[in-house]
Amino acid sequence: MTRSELCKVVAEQYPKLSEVQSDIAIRTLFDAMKAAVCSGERIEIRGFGVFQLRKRKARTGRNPRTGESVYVPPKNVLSFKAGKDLKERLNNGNTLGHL
Amino acid sequence: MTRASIANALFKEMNEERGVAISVGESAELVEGILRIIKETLQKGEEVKIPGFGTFTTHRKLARKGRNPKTGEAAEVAPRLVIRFQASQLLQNSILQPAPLSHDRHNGNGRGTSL
Repeated sequence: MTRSELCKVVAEQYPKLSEVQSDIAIRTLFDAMKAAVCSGERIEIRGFGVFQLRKRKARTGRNPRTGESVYVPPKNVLSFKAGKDLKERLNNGNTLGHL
Repeated sequence: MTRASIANALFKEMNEERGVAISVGESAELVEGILRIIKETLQKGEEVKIPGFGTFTTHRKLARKGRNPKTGEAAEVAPRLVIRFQASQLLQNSILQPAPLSHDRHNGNGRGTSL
């Protein structure tokens, strides 16, 4: 599912909103989340999950082609951990059928 | 940030910037609805791709033998589905990065400082 498909479903379920308006709503939602994670803020949405930055230490990597060692500086990466409801939906739902 | 602050951001944007009159309650409901639809899609095993944000995919984990870390007892970890989230490169590039330390080696080798 892409954002535009998500828009259609939202517009169907919220007849008050046109497809264009639900597109705006979805963009606003993700823009707000982007702004928060970019500044290092943790986003906790109960039942959905938590987005937070995790620190990666500096390390010495290798250029896979030349074998040369390369210094990789420390960095922050965005991680997501699924919440309880999402995990339960995945594992108690009908999806278990095709495990 | 919580769902309440997301709903608040949505309420403001819709009313003040976009001229769409929705109430605080409706904004909260809409946030809930969007998240629910994403969850339902993942539940069906389908991936969800949000350009500029990231991609949620589901993956199967096989059963394995684990240990209760507290008691050391052997236990079976059931097979399950897990969510994997890959942040968009665009988003990853604009994330707050630790300040490069002045004593970092090879500073400025081209691959070094990412931002």
